[in-house]
Amino acid sequence: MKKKLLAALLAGVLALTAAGCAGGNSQPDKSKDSVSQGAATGEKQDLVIMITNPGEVNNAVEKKLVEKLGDKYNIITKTWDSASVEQTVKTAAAANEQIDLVQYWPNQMNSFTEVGIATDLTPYMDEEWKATFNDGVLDIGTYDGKLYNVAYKTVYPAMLVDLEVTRAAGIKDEEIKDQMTWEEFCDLCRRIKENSDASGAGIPDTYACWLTRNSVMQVWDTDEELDKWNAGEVSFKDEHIVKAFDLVKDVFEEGLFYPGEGALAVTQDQLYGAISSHKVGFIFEPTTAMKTTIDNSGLKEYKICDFPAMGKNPTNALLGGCDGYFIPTSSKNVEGAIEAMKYLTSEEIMTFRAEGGQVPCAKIASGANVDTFFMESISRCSNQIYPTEIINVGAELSDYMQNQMPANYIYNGKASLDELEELRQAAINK
Amino acid sequence: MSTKKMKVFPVISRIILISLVVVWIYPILFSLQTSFKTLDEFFANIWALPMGISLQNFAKAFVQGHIGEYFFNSIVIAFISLISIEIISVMAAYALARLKIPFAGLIIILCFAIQLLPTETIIIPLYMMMSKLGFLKIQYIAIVLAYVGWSIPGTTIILKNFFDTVPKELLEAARIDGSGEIRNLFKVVLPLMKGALSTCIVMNFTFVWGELMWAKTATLTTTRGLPLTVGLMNFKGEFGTDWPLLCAAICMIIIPLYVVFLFLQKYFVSSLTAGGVKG
Amino acid sequence: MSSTRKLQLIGGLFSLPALIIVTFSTIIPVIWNIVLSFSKWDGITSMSFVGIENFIKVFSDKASMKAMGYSLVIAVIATATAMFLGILLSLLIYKVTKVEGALFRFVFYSPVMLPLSVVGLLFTLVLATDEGLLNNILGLIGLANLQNAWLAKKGMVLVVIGLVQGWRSSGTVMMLVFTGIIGLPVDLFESSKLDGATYRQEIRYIILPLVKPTIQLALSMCVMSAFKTYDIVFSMTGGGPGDISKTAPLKILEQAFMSNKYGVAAANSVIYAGIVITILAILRKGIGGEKYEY
Repeated sequence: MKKKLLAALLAGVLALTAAGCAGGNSQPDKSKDSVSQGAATGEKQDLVIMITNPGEVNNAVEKKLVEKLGDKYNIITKTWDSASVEQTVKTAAAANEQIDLVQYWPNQMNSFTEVGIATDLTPYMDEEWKATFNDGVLDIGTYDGKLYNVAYKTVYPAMLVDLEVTRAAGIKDEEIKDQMTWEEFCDLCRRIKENSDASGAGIPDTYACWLTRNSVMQVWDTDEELDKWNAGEVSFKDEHIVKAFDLVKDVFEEGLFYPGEGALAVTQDQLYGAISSHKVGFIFEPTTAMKTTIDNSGLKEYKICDFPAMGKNPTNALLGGCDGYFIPTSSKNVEGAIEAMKYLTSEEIMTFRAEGGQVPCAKIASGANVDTFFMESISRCSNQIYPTEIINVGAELSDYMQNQMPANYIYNGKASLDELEELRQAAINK
Repeated sequence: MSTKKMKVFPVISRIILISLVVVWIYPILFSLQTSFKTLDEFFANIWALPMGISLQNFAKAFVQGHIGEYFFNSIVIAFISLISIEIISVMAAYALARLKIPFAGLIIILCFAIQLLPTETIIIPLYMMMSKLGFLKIQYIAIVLAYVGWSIPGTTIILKNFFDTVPKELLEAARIDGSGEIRNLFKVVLPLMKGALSTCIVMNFTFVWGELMWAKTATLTTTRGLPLTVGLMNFKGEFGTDWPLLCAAICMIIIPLYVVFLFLQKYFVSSLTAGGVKG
Repeated sequence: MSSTRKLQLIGGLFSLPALIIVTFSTIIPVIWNIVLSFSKWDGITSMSFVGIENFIKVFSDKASMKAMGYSLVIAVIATATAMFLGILLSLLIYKVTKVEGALFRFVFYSPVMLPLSVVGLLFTLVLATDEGLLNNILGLIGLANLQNAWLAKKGMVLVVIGLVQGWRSSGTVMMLVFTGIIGLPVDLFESSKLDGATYRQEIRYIILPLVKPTIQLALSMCVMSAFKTYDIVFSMTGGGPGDISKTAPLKILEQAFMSNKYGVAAANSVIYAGIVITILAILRKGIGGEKYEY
């Protein structure tokens, strides 16, 4: 009796375990399926790429790539997401799972290069390929003489001006110069604030860090001083730096940025809403987002201005750089990834991007159908982009400067500079 | 006096409930109303009602988010996960509540404790294990295995709690009858447990249907077997979210959840009668 | 004696499948995590043992400690909100008719079914300073002086996140407690009605004491989910502005994936889990888990 019971129980448990193992038993068919599928499609190697988030130009580029190389490789496309790309690549790297091509910012590669999970691309960069790129573009993705990231489009911060707002505030169009100084910019903002219901300027929370990042670069009077700072040799408590942070803090405390209180927590979507109801005069956006912003908000009367100059150095160094591609070390198909990269930086794709309102990093076809006036307005500062920035010193410092400034300085004052100084010390003593 | 109070109370409670309903239902109404708008319309006034009812966003979301294919995947994942979770948890809970497992109290505390480490830190080792064992290559299994494992402790605790309230006499009677524990469990106890079980199913389904981080990680290098939540990522653009499109997708995703919930509702009522029997 | 043994054996067999799967998907990763907390690892090269160095680092790191503090604030507010709303709702719903009750339960549970990230995104719109629904409503009903930059003020942002999280999980509490109440024997209520008890008396003397185990369970679950504040914080504020809402889970992820300090992140998560377990244990003791037999 007992034995019978036990046997019955055991059988039951076994059955349940089998069912319970996540329906494991229903799976083998499928796995066999995929194996035979792989065999059927011939010797095609996988190529896992994560280079696109939704967007008209980006999606079209990915489609072209699949058309071009789809016969040769089994291309697996994954959606790119700025918030999780780091985690994704690192998790895959830890398990050595295949990812072949990833989009990332060439000037922020240190989070990957510090632990060596980015493939050194120097050996693949032959003279012929190199010659297609604009001067200096490849330097941005170069660390310690090794090329880790190949840039494909140029991005830097600029300002979109809603002329309806400025006119309503009694500002003549001629008064809005392409390149203003920070003081001139602030004056115009004040006039908008005083003479209308709109706010002077607006910036999405994810880009607020530009103000301080540019400020600490432009506060130096000479390139020598700037280089020393960018190399991490100057303290965050240096009076120049404190002055630079104060410059940004002041405009927020004065309430010049939309919507006054709470200006540090304005999301991109909220800003679009504000722009379409003409509540903001000057809108800070990356050059690549200008077209989307104009389209989304339906602005008719606009002008694109450069980032206001915050210091006196004639170089007027600008943060920025590029979007680019890199190959993680967990790639199983480096050759294919390089081939894709070459195609993605080819004249064909570059021309296509230019025609879609983006500033490419490499040569475009001579007869391209580009809106030259618009293109000029979002690329004229490209040569001001400074090849180095303080954030290149270390990953943690970079994270702090990008995600917690200027907010922490505004909330916590000098204590935040102490924290930054600690991170700088740690980074240079490594 | 007291009888009068009894009559006033249901009225008051209805007034409070209905006023609260507005706050609770708003997110869904907002999603629904936004799903009918164009992007321009949305940014022009976020809170305004749509100018017309157009299903264009639904059609676009269906294509762009691969809703059809991912929907199937999500259903398969949810189905296998839920069946496994409920069967395994019912057995474990029954064992903990009735079968005199030593250190039952400790095991329960442990059940809680192991769920406490942030999921994010568990993902790396789990991903490495799945990778080594080759589970990542097999459609669904990596996702389902994790969901089942993560859901069992919580579900077991809830079920055990309700098993504890089943009168002992019922079981004793069954035992004297000579029926085994399995019969005991499925014939005597489970029918009383419909309410608790449907609570668990709803909660687990909610988790499985909405989980994103692991689903995304487990399908890192493949395009097969992706669930709906991962498809939602396709609406987060480089420069902001396409809200109308996202909302259309959300509506399509939550409707099945609501259907499951409404379907299970009747079991809550049936457990009410069961309560009457057992008293 | 032998019957106890037999029961134990059957019990062991019954819980075996659960044990296997949980071991695989949770226990092994957790152990790995604990081992990692005593090691140095950059995600690629092999680990090296460093003793309690990681723990010292976490304890001496002001930012990590601050993050735990923020998590605690959010958890307390979220749990209190969820428990209060959930119990209130279930008691109210118990008093209406079956059909109405089903409808109300559906409505109050519906936020739980929305993905957390969606709830978060939605509330960034509701709580926006200028175009936000809340500030606009406050303006309309003449309470403009209550308008606020809800998500951009130190302290305030934590309260707001806590309330949103609590609001969302109140549905779960409502479901659990309601299931508990309808599981109570009907004749208890019948006899109390004969005694002429009011609903308030019923709640106080019958319902609340009898569903105490369920309430305790709901409380534990609330505390747990309130401490796991990743999705909602990330989608509402991303931990910002600055770091005024950076909770422990966000900090842990940042330490691991941005700074490549996986050991420190693991130590941080172990400490964090320790704190939550302690809180849960205190709650269990404090409320008492005695069961009522009826």
